[in-house]
Amino acid sequence: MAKKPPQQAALEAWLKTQGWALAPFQRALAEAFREGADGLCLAGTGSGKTLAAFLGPALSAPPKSAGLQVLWLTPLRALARDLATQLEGFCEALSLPWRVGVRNGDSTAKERRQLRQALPEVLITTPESLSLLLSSPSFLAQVPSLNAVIIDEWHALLGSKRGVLLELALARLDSLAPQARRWGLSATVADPDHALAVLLGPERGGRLIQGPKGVPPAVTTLIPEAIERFPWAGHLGLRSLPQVLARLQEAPSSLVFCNTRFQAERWFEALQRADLSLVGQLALHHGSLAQSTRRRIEDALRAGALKAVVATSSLDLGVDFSPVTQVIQIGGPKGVARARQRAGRSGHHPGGTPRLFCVPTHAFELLEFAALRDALDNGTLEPQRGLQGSFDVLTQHVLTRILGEPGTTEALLTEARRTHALASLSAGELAWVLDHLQRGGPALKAYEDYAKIERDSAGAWHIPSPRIARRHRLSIGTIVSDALVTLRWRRGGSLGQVEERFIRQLRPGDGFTFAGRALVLCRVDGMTALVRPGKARRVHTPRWAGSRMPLSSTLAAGVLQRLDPAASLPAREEMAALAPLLRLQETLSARPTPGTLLIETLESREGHHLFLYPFAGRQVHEGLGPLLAWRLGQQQESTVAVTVNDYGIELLSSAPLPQEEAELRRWLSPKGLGEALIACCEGTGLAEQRFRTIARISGLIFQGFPGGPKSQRALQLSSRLLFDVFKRYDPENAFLQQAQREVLTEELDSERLEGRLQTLSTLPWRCHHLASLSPFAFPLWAARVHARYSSESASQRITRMLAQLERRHG
Amino acid sequence: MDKPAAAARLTLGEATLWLLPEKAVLWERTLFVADVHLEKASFFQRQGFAVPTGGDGEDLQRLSVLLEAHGCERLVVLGDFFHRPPRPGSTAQADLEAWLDARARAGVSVHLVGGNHDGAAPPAEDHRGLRWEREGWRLGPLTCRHEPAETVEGPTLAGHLHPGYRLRAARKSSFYGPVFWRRGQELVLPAFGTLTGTLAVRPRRGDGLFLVAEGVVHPLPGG
Repeated sequence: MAKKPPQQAALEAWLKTQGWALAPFQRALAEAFREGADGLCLAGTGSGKTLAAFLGPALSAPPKSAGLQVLWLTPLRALARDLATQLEGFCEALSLPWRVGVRNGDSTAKERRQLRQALPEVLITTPESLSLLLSSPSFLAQVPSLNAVIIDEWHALLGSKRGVLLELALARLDSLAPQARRWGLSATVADPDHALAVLLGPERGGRLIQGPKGVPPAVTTLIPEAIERFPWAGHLGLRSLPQVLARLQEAPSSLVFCNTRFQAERWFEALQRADLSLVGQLALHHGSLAQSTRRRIEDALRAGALKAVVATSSLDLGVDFSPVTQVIQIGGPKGVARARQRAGRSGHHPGGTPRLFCVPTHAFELLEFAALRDALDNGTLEPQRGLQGSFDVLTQHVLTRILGEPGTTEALLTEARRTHALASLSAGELAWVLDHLQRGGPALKAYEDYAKIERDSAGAWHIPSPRIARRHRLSIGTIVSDALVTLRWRRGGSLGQVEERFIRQLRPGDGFTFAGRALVLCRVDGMTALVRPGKARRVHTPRWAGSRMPLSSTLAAGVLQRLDPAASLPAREEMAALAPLLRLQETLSARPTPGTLLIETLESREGHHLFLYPFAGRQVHEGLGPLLAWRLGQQQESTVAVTVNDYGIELLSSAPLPQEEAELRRWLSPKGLGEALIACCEGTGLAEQRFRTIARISGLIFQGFPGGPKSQRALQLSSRLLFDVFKRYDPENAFLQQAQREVLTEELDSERLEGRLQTLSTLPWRCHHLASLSPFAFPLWAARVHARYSSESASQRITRMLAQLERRHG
Repeated sequence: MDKPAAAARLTLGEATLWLLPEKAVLWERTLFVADVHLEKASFFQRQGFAVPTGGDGEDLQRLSVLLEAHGCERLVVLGDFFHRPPRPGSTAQADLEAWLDARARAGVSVHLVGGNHDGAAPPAEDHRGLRWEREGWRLGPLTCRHEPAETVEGPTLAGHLHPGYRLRAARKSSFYGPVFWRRGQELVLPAFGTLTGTLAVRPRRGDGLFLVAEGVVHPLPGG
């Protein structure tokens, strides 16, 4: 055995003074690292995973400082500060003369300059900032000394395009520092082997180390008092305000999670108004707020100065706030993993356990909570699969990569193939991407000065124009699907950012709420919206407010199980509370069960309604609904409006719908599904939205220079227009095809859809003609249209609409 | 004059206008369009975005077809003919000049009421056949503008707004499309160009709306 490095001795001394011993998983990780292995460690927050991952590189540190040693990647900027403090503490305890630096979107210009000159031994950064760093030759020059790359909160990146961007960045680091070991830290996932494979790519093998699993949360649902009066639809849930207030008063500190920013704003307002003693002790936290505001809230929460913080997913990840003893979830969390994650944000005080209160916003969420508790008890989790075939991310990465250092086609191909996402990238596909970057592809008229990349004298690709380089640097890391508009006071100072879609619905003079304040929009100037304070009473609600998070298939299956009268599941108070509503459903129609397919029909002034309940979750229904509507349109001239939710589908048709089972069964046949789906997707706008996202990620559309000139508005092209233009004049475009593919696999989950159709086509059916809306039908009836299909001519539709209007007013 | 197929008739003052489903207005032997936005795709390309070209050719082709079908002697573009003026010497410039030559040969004069996108001032060299007119140019009883005015003195035609409107009937039944918007004595035309979008308008009581959908102009009730 070699002589003990000084860090080892320091470690043992430190542990002794703290009275701690290394946990087995911490020891195992340090060992594995020393043996030169890569891998993934599964451990929750507060389990000591940071020390576990840091020990390896710390104990094998070279005697003298030798440049960048550890690159620590964490997806949330907010985590970086606390992480830095923690790691600095470890360095001190281990007598390591290492500096710890942070580089991310929050870094000041001065910090960035300092880092450019000489990197610290430990650099904490986000995946997006890592991409940005990879475009800088001065960073690249310092990478070869790298000893370890730690990817924190890997579960939060797995299965997303941010994860793909990170995979590509890691492959690049590999070329520069092949000796660096790669370790991921993740919460429990459904398929750890897959998570490991995606992290390491096809060419590296690694180990799985299981850390402490974490205590399961104690879960209670706040059952509404009078279920008969409780709404069947809706998403705000303010009816439960008194119960929530009571819970808040009982605990020193709570986190109140809402699914949308709109919900969070309303709850914040309502809580303050309901209990004036909370003013000053209540805060609102969401991702759109300015960074300084978020920091202030986090600090106050940590210090125990806040009774409650109303938050969206902005506080899903993070260092734990020890004063928080309970988490209140408003509305269904839509996923088991998310619920676990959020519950786990509480109970970090000594002797504490995570505590979760579930607050239903409409009656059927009681079903979801029952299913959630079943899943938590069984340890079931949603599967997460790494994405593949993301050419948009590849395009963005290629530009970043060659900005840092010119690269040949072969080098780019080899590097990309080292990732799970692009392991099967063909030479032809890469050639398409490079051709696109070089001349925009064949659909561009020979435009003399269009060229993002060019070959240099050595045959490697580089970016000749400084303007293009500058613009690309500004958009590195773009993965978000929506352009963001900055909210600014007229006199200066920014409040935060808001989605462009939200602002576009408002006119100057309209009021809206943001960060708990009533604001009035003055005017929009490019990507900045100027606002002034407004009156709370006169607030205009933008129309798209509402949760679009789909119920995970895991929970949807759980819900369906709960509806099965024959299933032997533990009794739950949620189901007992829901019993009267289910009885009403049985009276008016029938109860949906896993063993039958329930179909309800209804005639109204609006047309002919058909409701069906596959319980496959919103995602699958977004494919199933249009499919049915489209198939109907093939048979007869009609206009069909499709509405979907997590439980079922509504078709509202201008012409009578088939009532015979034989006909309906033909509709639901899985035969010819593939082509039908592609054809009917055109009506949903999903492909257009996807294409727009892909266009932004790949650099087809540019967000705009900060504070850019007014002509930036001229650069805005609606998703529909962009999509139409490409379809007409460049149908072979690989991004278009990627959009279509992603709609099928990511949005509609076509595999699951097909499976569900198969099952549905074999089940016995129950058709009921309703006299009035059943409890399950009502939420669909009340919801907004998801898609429209018309096989009538526009003239027929308009003529009919004009006749309807005349009947109403004439 | 005979009614063109699928058009709607509108009288402004003494002038009888035909609102065509191709998003143009016909008066006597003059065709009016607004907001063609030629060179929009190239504008994007110049910024480094690979938006395919092809729309421009189609727009000019559509104009030719319309002018011939109705035997017009005059084309008036109510502003924003160009999204950005084409660069001298470029292929786009050459294409445009060829098209203007063809109009001149066919005896059609082309007038452009300058809009915010066309360029700050009329270019020093006049394209053969493209005549630049000032905002508020009078043509018989009609006044031609790019941007609509709050108050007008007589029948006025304008563009700039790219108007669109959502027709709503029963619940979950609606139709959105470009419209001709009559506000008093002023008529705002929908945008003619392929790559142009629409902006939903908020009509006032008494305004007239004509919805364009699939080759038919539908007058909407009210006003």
